[in-house]
Amino acid sequence: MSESPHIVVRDLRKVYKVHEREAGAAASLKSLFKRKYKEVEAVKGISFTIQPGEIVGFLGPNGAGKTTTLKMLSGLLYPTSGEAKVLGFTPWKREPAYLRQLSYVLGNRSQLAWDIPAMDSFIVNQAIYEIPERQFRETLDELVNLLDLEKLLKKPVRGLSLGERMKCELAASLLHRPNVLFLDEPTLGVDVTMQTRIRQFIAEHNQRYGATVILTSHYMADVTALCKRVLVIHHGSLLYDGDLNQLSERIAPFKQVRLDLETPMEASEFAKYGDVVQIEGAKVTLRFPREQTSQVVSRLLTELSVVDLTVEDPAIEEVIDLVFQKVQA
Amino acid sequence: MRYLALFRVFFRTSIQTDMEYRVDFFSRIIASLLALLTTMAGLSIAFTYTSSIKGWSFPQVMVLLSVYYLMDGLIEMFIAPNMRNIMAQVRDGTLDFLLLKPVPVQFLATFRTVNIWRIVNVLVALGLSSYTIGKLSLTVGGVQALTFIVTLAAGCGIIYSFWLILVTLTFWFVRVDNIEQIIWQAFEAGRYPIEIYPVWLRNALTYVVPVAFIITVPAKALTGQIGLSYALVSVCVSAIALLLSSLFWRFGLKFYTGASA
Repeated sequence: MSESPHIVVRDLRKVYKVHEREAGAAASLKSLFKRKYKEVEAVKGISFTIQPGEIVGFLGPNGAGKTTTLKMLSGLLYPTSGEAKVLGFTPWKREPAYLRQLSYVLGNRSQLAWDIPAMDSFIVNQAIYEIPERQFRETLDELVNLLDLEKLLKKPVRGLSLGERMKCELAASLLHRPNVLFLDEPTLGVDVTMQTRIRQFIAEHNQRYGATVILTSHYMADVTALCKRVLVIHHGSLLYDGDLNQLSERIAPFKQVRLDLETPMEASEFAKYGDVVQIEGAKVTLRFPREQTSQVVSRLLTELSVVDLTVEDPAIEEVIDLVFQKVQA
Repeated sequence: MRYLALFRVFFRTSIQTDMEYRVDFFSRIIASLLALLTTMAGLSIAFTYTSSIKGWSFPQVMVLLSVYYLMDGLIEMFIAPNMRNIMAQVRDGTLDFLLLKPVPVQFLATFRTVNIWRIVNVLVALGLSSYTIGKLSLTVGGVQALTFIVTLAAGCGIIYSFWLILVTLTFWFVRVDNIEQIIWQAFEAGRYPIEIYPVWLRNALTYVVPVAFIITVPAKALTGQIGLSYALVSVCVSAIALLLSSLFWRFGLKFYTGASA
């Protein structure tokens, strides 16, 4: 059975008009009456399709256009041109029938009321989304169990730690069982244990309800743990759309070798084998093009006194870094 | 129905929030009594020299004053906290969360919060008005009470619209802190009979910033100076204001999401 895709994006573009102001009092005064605007193309015509139940990682440095894209898909921003259909709806028409099935979690902002316990905000959301009492109780029980919220629900939100607040934030966003979930930096500023917990939770929730998820995160661990597929965006253009595992092969066709030598050597002595990634006494990490792997390894083994040698793919963070450097250059 | 149910939930959570700030309750009582007493003292001095100002007797002015405080209490209870929130939410971007909800943003933004302790002002104002009505030995009949309630509700609609229009400007200018100043300055002018002002100001307060409809008209209704037919005018003005402000709000929202370009 082929279900129709949950998200279809075609040539989506967003140009911002940014108010330009020169320094100095005279210029400031002038800008009070006549403002100069500069156009900034934040998203330059991207296209992709996401199937129901997929968790897709959205990668890119700050200002790449990730949040702008998510805002357009959630109806918060009107695109300059292009099309998008999410669950068959045009997001920026902001039809209630669409908004009922959507959640957008922003790691750096809170939808919970500050002065009251999270539970009261949940009740407000119940009313807003018209969640029937029984379903509300069921979902709430589940979320309380999965996220370990029991003790947090009755405390005013202002008294919670960042991680605790994020858990409540997630719960508030999932009470209406959205079919599409946008997670924008959900683990921002949260400690490692909590990050793992949140990650597990997202995976479990996705399995249980089959919601389609787009996740952006600065922590690669979030992406590698949850996403099979990634979209890499940079300067508003889509650089890569595909399997996370093939990302390094496709855009960064490198291999790395970690060497344990008998005696330390100078960094310059490795130049003929490849680029030095790291050097620490007798431990060296080298990088070279993928197709030269066997050749380089055999030369290393014959020409140097090697104690131990491991061939590996570069870490995904480094691949991403490489991609962005390459584009900038 | 749906909106009423929502408003009930909003109201309940607001009360819970305000219970966290119980001190506010007592400071409210003191503040509102003080404000009332000082204004009354000032007026009673003025009235020792004359028995009426531009056709208003002392008790009638007191009724006007009580309507002023009643309106002030209602604004601070239902309208002002929400309008202040909108300005803050535009600034820090949390207005986005309202846009994500399957409920019209205007409803969600302008009825979300109730500042419950301001009920003190409302009660004090009601007390003052019943006291002065007793002093005037007026009997408030059914029609009169109805006229009063209708004009008061219309007045609420007008001040709500006026404030909504000014708050909508934040979509373009982000920081418009002086908005509240403008509103309160105009509103305070309504503390006295509109007839005491020069013609140009009186016209401004009737047609530009319709303070006359917000305070003077309900007060006149309460003292029997105007009839039910006049209330109709008030309702029309209010309906037009609500419609215009809502249209302007929607236009501003389009700008906010970049749909207007």
